[in-house]
Amino acid sequence: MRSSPFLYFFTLQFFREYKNHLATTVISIALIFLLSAVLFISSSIKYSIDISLGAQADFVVERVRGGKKVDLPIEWIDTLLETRGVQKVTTRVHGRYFFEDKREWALIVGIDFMDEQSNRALEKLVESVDLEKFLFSSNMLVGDGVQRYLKEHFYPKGYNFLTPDGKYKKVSIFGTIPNSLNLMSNNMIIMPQELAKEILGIKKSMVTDLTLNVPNDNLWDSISDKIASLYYDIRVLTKREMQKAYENMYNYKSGVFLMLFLITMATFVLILYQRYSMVFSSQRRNIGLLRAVGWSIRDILKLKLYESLMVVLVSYVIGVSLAYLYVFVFDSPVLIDMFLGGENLDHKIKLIPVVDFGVLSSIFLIYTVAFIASVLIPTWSIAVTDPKEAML
Amino acid sequence: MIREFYLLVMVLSLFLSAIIAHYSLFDRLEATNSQLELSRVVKMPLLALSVGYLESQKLFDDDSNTIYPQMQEIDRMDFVYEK
Repeated sequence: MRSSPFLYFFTLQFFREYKNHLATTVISIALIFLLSAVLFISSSIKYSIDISLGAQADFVVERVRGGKKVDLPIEWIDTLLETRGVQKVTTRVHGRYFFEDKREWALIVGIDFMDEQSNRALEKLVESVDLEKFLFSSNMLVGDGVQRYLKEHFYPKGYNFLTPDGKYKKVSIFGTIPNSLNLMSNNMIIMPQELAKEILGIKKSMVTDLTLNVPNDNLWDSISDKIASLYYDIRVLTKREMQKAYENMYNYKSGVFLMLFLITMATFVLILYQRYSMVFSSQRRNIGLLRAVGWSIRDILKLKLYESLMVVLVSYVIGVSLAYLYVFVFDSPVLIDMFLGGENLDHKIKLIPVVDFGVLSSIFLIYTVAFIASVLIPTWSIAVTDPKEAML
Repeated sequence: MIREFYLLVMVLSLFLSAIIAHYSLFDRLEATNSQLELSRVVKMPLLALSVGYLESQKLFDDDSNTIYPQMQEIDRMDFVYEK
């Protein structure tokens, strides 16, 4: 490699005139870092949502009255099971409990002690959990955010929930959900279903909603219609709809950032173009000088191409690496709030590293083409002029 | 090529290898399984959203109404048990 005089000259000139490239490189790093960080967060959340949706039932049945979701009677289970093709109808009890300041809330989820699948999963999830003890007394498992909130408010071992009857219900903290699951469980409280009903003010004969499975995918549409016609105030949500809703939400958020990136990149590229086309710029003089000492137009374009590629590659590698470290090692402070919000309980979320190589290579290509074009076009127009004129 | 160039290549390789090492050594299976188990327990594809804008805006409004300061305060208990 050392034997190539061109490459030797190129590296020598590049590092000798590093100040000329410094500002460009720093701005490029900042742009690539921001966009990559947003895309890393977005793809990781999408990945987690896909996992979570994979474990969900095919349908969720709700009751809506006056545009508001209300509790539904448990008897609906029998009616739903009579529909051909429907399997395994389960109940869900959940709701938000607003703490005393009415600003911060936790999501209470009640689990059924008769549901074996749920119990097995709970045992796997929280080690050393004595299910019998947990499910048959006033205990709860809390997410990391809830635990920190309660500790800060001097409730390290349990909390006195205010029920709709105006009475206090003391519930002990039985354990904590691992903080690696904070993306989903940060504001969550898991407790036995009966206890959850008492705190949320749900009657014993009612539940929040129902879930059901239809193993044959081809029947989904017809069964959805059949169930929807069973009661006038029923609402049926399919797994596909939920998946779409989440996808749209995160595509929208990362799309806004992508749009901002494109605007900023266009501005940056224009500035670069301007810099190289300016009549009295040092770049112009340098090109004229090289032409005067006998360099061909092709050599000059090659030199500028190498220079641009070097700037782009350095910025890209550093930008993407910093974004990766920021998101997956330092847990993306500040930027994660754009996706999850930062108004409720504090969260320290560990995201699963997911790298979408397709998106990353698209960023690289878009950025490289625009960057190189903004340098090579003015360089070419200077190189074809008379060296004397260019050096003026 | 000059010495600075090799130095730069080494720094960039270091960055890349750090990422590749972190990405490949991360126990993705365990993380995925834990999320799966939690979803099975709660039966909901939930994210721990920490947002206020999904809530009824009244909940976060100031008690007093700027146009009619004497207006009666809203009953906040309505929102305590919002489902």
